[in-house]
Amino acid sequence: MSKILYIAWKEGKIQSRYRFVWFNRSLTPFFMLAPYVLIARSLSSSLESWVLVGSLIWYWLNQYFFGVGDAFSEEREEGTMANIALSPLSLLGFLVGKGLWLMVDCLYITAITIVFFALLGVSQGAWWLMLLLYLLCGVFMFAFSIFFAGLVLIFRRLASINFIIQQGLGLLSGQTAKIEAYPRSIQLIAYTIPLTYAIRASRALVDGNLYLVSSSFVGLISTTMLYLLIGLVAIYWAEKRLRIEGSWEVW
Amino acid sequence: MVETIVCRNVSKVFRAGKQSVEALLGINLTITRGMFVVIGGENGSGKSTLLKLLVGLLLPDQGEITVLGVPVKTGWKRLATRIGVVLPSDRSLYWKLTAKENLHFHGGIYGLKRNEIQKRTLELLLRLGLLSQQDQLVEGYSTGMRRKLMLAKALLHKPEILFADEVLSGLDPRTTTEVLAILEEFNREGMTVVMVSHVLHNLPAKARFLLLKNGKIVLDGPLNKFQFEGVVRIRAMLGDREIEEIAEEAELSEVILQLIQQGASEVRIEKDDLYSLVRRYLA
Repeated sequence: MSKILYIAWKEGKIQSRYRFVWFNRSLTPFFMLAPYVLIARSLSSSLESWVLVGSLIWYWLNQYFFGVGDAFSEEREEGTMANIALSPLSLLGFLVGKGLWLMVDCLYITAITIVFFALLGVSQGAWWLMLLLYLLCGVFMFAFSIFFAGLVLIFRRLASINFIIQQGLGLLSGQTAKIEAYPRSIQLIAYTIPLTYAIRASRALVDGNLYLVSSSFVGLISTTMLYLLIGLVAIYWAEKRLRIEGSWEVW
Repeated sequence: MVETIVCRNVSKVFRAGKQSVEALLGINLTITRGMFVVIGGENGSGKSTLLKLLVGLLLPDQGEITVLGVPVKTGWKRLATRIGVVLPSDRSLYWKLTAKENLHFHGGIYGLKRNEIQKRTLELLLRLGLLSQQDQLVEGYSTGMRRKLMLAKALLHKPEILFADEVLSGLDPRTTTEVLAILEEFNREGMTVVMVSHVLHNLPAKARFLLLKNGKIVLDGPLNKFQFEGVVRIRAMLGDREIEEIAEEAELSEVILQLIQQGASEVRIEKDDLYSLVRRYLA
């Protein structure tokens, strides 16, 4: 475990060298999400909180897809990937370390964003309960991002369309809408994405529907486990290929 | 003699589409504990490929490699804490961390205890002359300082074998001598050193020299076997062609006379060294 913590420690140390990044991080989510939330507010008060919690969960996925999904590309660009490969730490352990740091990062971002929207008077449920739920859903978003990281390790160019993939997942999962309003075929796709269940659970918590929260978690756990399993196989296979091709520092 | 590294019939081919490059061909090599091995050769001769195979970053297409009794193909993770590796690029350090933080991180992922990391970090930074710059970000370091830090990183977990790929490249003569002295010191303490290098001067006299050409070992022997004392290199122009002769100092005048009789001009006499020996083997 301590080896993994050192990865998180390293990430934190490097981030502390860029003080303005922290300032940027604390404001960006608010300015990114505010237009959607405020338009929703003009339609109905329940919709504004639906859009906000949906967008915040999507933002966690966004951070994990960039942080964990692109973790290998980042280390390759830095030139430090071979060091990780040489170390006693597994590639999965390395990703878990990155994920731990991102959890701290996301909690910071989410807490500040919650405060900003609270100041605007947007209802979003009990803040501590929501923060706890975001944290829990974040664990699943992390596991989902391992799937993406595995794919990036195999298909390097996927990293360049990371953002569009996130946008697509947000749209399909009903980040700003109810997926029930989508055509049946799109709904079927939506139900294969863990983000859909995470968003549904968060909205159900705001509405106080605990039955829907728990049923959403069943969907969240089962879909995430499937992606995680594929991701782990992909990482194992990709690592073996990297050791045959020697392309540790190619990106 | 304990066999530390054993390669049996090791071959590696890199494939890109329909093209393939034979990087190593049937390498057989045994390195015993405490040896100081220098691997030389032209660019693309297979030196770095051999080193990557020995540390497990690459898997061979054919043959077996055993390091410290561990088959590298399946046991590279088990080997990780027993070997130290200096990679050729100084980007293998985190430039936004200080020297101390880089070592702290490295020690952490290698499973060293916190107080052990602190003790060893101080010890190595002192030994490598980096103690006063330990809190400086690596991005502000000179090439020489970075190379020394990469060395410290590789030595932090007290490996039994040190693999160093081009650790001397880009260093000024003083730092080259310093780094070589440090490597010799660790080697005297019992560590096996395997170094890939284009820099072939000031090498320890007891070192074993391996020369690679087109993926094969073409020269293998202790440096002190290669006799440079009392040997000279004579270069001259014969018509429009440059020729080179190696001769004992005692027979120098006789060789020069023969060359002049053949019509040689611009005769130059140079001291022979490892560089010219390598050049002759690679010609």
